[in-house]
Amino acid sequence: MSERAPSARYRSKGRIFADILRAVKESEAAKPTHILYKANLSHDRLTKYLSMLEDSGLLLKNVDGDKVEYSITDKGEQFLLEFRRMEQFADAFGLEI
Amino acid sequence: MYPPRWFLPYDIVILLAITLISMAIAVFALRGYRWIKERSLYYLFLAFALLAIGFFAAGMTEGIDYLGQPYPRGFTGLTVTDVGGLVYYACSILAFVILAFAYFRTAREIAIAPALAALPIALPSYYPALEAVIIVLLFVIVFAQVVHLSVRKSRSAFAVLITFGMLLVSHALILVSSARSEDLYVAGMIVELAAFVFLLVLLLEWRKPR
Repeated sequence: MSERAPSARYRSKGRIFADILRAVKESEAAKPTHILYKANLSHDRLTKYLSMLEDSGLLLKNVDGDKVEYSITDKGEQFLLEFRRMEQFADAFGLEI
Repeated sequence: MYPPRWFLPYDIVILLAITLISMAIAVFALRGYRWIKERSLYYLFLAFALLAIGFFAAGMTEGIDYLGQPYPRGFTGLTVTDVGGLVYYACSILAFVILAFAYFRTAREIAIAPALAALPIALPSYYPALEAVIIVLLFVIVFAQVVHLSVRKSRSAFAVLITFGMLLVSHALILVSSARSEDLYVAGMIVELAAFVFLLVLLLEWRKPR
C-alpha cells in the first residue's frame, strides 16, 4: 500500500505523529529542519509534537552541544506498524484516520 | 423472526460463531484505538462490540429455549428468545447507526443513535419492522462505501463492501422469510455467516505485519 504524502489538508494527531516518525526513520538521526520539511509542519507545531512524541517514548532526543537530532525508538517503530495496519483497516471500512 | 425448529441448533452455532468473529474485530479496533487514539477506530470497536453482544444474547437465549421447551406460537407474554431477540435488534441497530454515522463524524448525528436504538423497545416482538430498520441502515452503509470506493480504489475496501452487501442480502432474506418460507431464514443466516467469515479472512490479512 502506498503511503500518503503529508499535505496541507486536515491531518489527525495520529497521522501527524506518523508523518514525523516516518521523517525521522528516513534518516537514522534527523535534524528538526529535516523533520519540519518532511512532515510539512510549522516550527511551533513541530516543537509541540516533538515534545509529545518524546514524552510518549516514541522519539529519542539526542543533544550534542548545539546539535539536536532525533531518532526513532522501538515503541516508535511499533506505532508506525500499528498506524499502517489501522490505516488499511479503517480505509477498508471507508473511514479515515 | 423464528428459525425453523430443525435449524435451531445450527442457528445457535452460527450466532455464536459470528459473536466470536465480531469480538475479534472489536478487539483489533480497540488495540488500534489505544495506539492511534482515532475516533474512527473507536466507532468500529463500539459497532462490532455491540454486534457481538447482540449475537451472543440471541444465541444464548435460543439455546436456553431449545434446551427447555419449544417456544410458543401466538404467545401473549415474552419468551426468553423474545428477550434475546430484542437485545439482538437493539444492539444491531445501534451498531449499524454508529457505523453509518461514523462516515459523517459529527457529534450531533451520533446523538441520534440512542434514539434509534430505543426503537426495538417501542416495537416489542414486531421483528419485521426491526429487520427493515437494519436493512435501511445497511443500505446507507453500503452506499457510503460505494462512494468511498469510487474515490479511493482499494482491494480491501472492495472486499468490505462485498461483506456489507452480503449482510444486506441476508437481512432481506430473513425479512422475507416471515411471509414466504422458513427456508429463506436458513439461507439468510448462511449468507450472514459467510459475510462474517469473509470479514475474519480480511482481519487475518490486516493483522499481518507489513
